[in-house]
Amino acid sequence: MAWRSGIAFRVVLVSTRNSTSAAFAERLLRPALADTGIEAWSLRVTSAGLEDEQGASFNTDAEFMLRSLGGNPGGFRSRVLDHEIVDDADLILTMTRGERDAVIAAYPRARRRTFTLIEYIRLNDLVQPIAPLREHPLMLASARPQVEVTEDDDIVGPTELGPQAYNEMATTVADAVYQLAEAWIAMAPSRGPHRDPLGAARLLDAGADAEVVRLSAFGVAVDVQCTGDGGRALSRELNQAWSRCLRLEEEPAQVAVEALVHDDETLLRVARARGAIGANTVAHVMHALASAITVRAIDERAGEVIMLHAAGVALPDGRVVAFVAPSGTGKTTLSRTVGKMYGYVSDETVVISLDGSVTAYPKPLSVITGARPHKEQFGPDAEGLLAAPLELRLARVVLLNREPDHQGEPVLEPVDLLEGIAELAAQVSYLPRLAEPLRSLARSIESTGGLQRVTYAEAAELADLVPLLAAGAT
Amino acid sequence: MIADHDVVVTTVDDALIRNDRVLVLVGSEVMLLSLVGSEVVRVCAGGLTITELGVHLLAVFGEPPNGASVHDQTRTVVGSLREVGVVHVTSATE
Repeated sequence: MAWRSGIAFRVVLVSTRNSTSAAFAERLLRPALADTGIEAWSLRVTSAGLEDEQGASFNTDAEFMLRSLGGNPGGFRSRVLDHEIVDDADLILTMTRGERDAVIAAYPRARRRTFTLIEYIRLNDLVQPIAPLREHPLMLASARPQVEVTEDDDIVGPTELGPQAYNEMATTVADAVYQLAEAWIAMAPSRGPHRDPLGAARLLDAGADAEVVRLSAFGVAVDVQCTGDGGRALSRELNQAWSRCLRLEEEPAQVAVEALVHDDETLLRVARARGAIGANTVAHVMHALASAITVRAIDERAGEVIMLHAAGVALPDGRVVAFVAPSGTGKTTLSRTVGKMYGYVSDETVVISLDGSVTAYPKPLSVITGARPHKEQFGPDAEGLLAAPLELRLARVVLLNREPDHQGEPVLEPVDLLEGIAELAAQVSYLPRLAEPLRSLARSIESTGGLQRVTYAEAAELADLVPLLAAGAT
Repeated sequence: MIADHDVVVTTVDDALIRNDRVLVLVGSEVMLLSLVGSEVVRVCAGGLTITELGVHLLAVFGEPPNGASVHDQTRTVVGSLREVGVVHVTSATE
């Protein structure tokens, strides 16, 4: 399986008979992605069945239903899932648990990229990964035990239930694929370097009050073009929340992002269809921008540096401790707490060069408050986080293990290098694109004295451990 | 069906070896192999037949447990590694 930025993320939808629910999902997901501005080249959607239907097409009822939901039934011919399709897929989504289990049994190597459609959506809601889309399946697979899917979550094809079930199946699929497309905004592959920085400027008419916020995301020059009725408010908010990532130099942007805040749903839809981040509130756009900026910067630096999904804090002399954890398991809380005592490096991505130097990414803290359906962005200045020194160097990589019921002091333990890297790998962006990926990662970790795991209950308890970890005196 | 004269070749994208264990990268997946799997990956870089591999594993690990034959056990191990993309098996007739 190829593993590069700038190439399509390939999704295969699977049902027992291709021409039923999987084909429906395929033909509804495509327009849903187009509506959210995800370009067809960057995300390829196909479908397949577990049983051979001899190239069946949609029946008349199915065609009618698809068209009524905005799907195009034209040109569909069923196909059977095989090794070639499986090996070519980045993500396999089945309609039922039984189909998922059948795929995994027949193709064990696909186990960590095979989910039911509803299971994947639930996992995504839980984890809310901020990473390139092709890394999501591995990240979500490790969280699979936290999500329960039952018989009620199976999307059963209409032939099993009779003609009346077309409506129910179609409505369920349409709702699910819309959620999927929404979740994938800003995560899809970019075209790679030099994304036509001027492109965003000509997207809205010249009279629009566009303001450009110039940012640096771990060395990647990013221009955010704030447009729409709420453009000024968005620009103001960005300047505050992203204050430590503002770019002062006049260098040209490597990545341009158009962000639109507007009440007009039609205008938003048009803007999103051309790739803009658009919503009717500043908070919603700020949330999507955090993902877009991070993911596009990661795309730009793929293969150059080690990018850990980690929280990082620095001692005054520049030594950095990176705390690695999957999304939603404690990184931001740690940054918010420990970053008041040590320099705040990042709550999301710790970027390590092969010589051990670290590039800070002091983005806003992305926090699930429960008050909104998405993460809220809190600037490090407003949170009172300390600034990190300019010169940073990796001193330790730590696997975070938060157990709310853990009693007593945090427990530190060394982790076997191979076992640790096996666990860590899903939290490294574009690992396969590094030269000698495993050996490069191992060299970086071994140069700091090896991996540690810390088990703890409250983030504040970790503060005293930072100097100890940085010194390698464990 | 894997035959005795089929050739097993390691197909990983990268490998890290420490203390007789091997960590491999296959596509986007990182896998820590068992001791037997690690040995297969190490010795099959240049290709070995199932028979040759069985002889090697017998020399390193001794007789398989539970009275299984060396060649049956070798085929089982190779089959598992092939399923996850760690080795490629070429038929002797190809």
